[in-house]
Amino acid sequence: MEQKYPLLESRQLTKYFFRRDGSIIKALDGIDFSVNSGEFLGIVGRSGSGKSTLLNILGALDRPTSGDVFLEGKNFRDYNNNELALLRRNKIGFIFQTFNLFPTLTARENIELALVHHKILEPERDSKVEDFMAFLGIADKLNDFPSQLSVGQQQKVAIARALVKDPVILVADEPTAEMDPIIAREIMKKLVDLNRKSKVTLIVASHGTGLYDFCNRTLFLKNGKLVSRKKAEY
Amino acid sequence: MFVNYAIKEIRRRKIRSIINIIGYAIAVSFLIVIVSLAQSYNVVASGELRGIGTHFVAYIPASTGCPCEFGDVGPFFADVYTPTFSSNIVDKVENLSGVEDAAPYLMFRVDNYTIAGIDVDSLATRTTAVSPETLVAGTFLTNSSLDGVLVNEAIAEVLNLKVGDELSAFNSTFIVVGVVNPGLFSKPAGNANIFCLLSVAQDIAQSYGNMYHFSVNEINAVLVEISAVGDENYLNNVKKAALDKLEFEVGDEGVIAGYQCGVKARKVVSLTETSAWVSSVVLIVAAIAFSLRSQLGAVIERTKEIGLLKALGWKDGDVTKQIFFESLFQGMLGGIIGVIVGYLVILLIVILGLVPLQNLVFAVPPWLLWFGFILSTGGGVIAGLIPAWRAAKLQPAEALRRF
Repeated sequence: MEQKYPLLESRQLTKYFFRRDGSIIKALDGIDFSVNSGEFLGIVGRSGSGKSTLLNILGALDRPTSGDVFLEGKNFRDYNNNELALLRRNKIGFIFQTFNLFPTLTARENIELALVHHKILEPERDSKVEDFMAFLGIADKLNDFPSQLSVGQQQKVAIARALVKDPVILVADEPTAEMDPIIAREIMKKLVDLNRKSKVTLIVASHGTGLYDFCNRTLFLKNGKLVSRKKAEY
Repeated sequence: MFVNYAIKEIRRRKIRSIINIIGYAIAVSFLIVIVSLAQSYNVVASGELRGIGTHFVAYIPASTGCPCEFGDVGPFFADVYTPTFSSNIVDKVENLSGVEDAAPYLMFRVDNYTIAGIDVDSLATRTTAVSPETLVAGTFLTNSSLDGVLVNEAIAEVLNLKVGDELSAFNSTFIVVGVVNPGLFSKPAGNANIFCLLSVAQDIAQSYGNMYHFSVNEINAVLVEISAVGDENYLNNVKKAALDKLEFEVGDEGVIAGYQCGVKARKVVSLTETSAWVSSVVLIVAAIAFSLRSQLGAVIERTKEIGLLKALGWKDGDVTKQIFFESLFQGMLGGIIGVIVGYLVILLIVILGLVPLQNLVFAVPPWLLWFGFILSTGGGVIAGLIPAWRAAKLQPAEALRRF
């Protein structure tokens, strides 16, 4: 059956933050766009442009001040907090710029955290974890703690954690920031590879233009608004 | 996974966890030690108070109506006569509701000595007249002590009597087997100088009856011990019932002699235990409050991690459950350690004899161990759930953004 609506759609999305002095920061100001299934969408903008805020809302980590986000035609606004948690658990993978690994857990245990609430047997879970570790080239680091891993290896563990639950959409907030360019390129290639092989939809934010090489399409964000590439550069 | 992660988190935050656990352990061990001491003290003190409390003596008061040929001058109590009656009344009084024990008693005064015949095996005798606990020297009477007597410490000093000495009185010679100081015990008609077996006293009384030509019955007082369960009204009701029974059987007006301070004193003693409970509970509450503050600090420190768990799809309830387990383990561990330490401290007190109370027997009731454990665990849960609930309410992005 043909899909009648985009996988993800944002309509007139705004997010305001209120300072104690009463002033308002318009982090997002009327964002309209959509993403189709299997697409690799890049969001580029300078620091403070609203990229992380946008990704947080798209990843169901935060609620907008106004406007709507639809995933597979269903409005986030209609979900309560627990239903949003289920959405994050089952359909959305999120990769953070700072990895956010638990220092007390091994690489394997960090990845398994994403599967704690999935009703799968231990052998299958182990197999999935090991497969993703192998795909990302860190199969020998299963029992290492984050402090024993390099920056690139830590991000790969974070990617594995986001992917192991087979999400329909993967949201990555500057996944290669502050990384060695070679490692950064390797990680981006892995994401592209993943996008092509498993058809998972990718939305990746970056402040650099290196993202162009990997994405199907790129949106430019400036002061909380979508703008043309040319405007974004000024 | 919850359990595994909880244990790892406790180990990761060693110092904070150890402080929490120590807090619980101190509170629980304090509870156990203080309440056990208070309870033991209460048991010992109540035992002592039985000697001055729930018992009385019922008898027919002295009169001038002596039926002997010497008119108003009778041998009993020098110049007054105390009617004697059958010892059957003792059983009838004992069968009254609220009476734990009743004992026969025969006391009279001749030749400047007041002698009391007692039933040495009776509880009422021991709580009302004289008991092994009142011994200053020697041994207590036994049923085979036909020529043995106990002498009051005061008269022993006056007569310079010691255990093993002979005492000549009532045309007989006795051996002093023990010196007693009945202290606060009831004295229905004066203080007895000499205690002997009831049968011995009855023989002496009978010999004087024969000598002065008047009949002497078996006893002239009933010693009564009341079940130590009721309040003052209860005691008064039992006394009245016993007196009514005595008057009905003897056909004359009787009186009651006894002490009622036991009930009030026991109330005072029970206040000690209540105070121990209150202070222990206050300490536990303080430990919980401390832990709450500590857990709150831990949860604030971990807000980012909580945000991350939520980002991974953990529901508010899952996060709360996770922190609940951590608090639960800390509370349980603190409770177990506290129970063990509390028990050891009590053992140490007993072994070293640190508490200056005679016959002090420590018995930590099992329910107290469970209570301490449950209180600590419950406190841990409360201390963990409140901050966990606060943290779980945050949106994941907000939790991640804050720290």
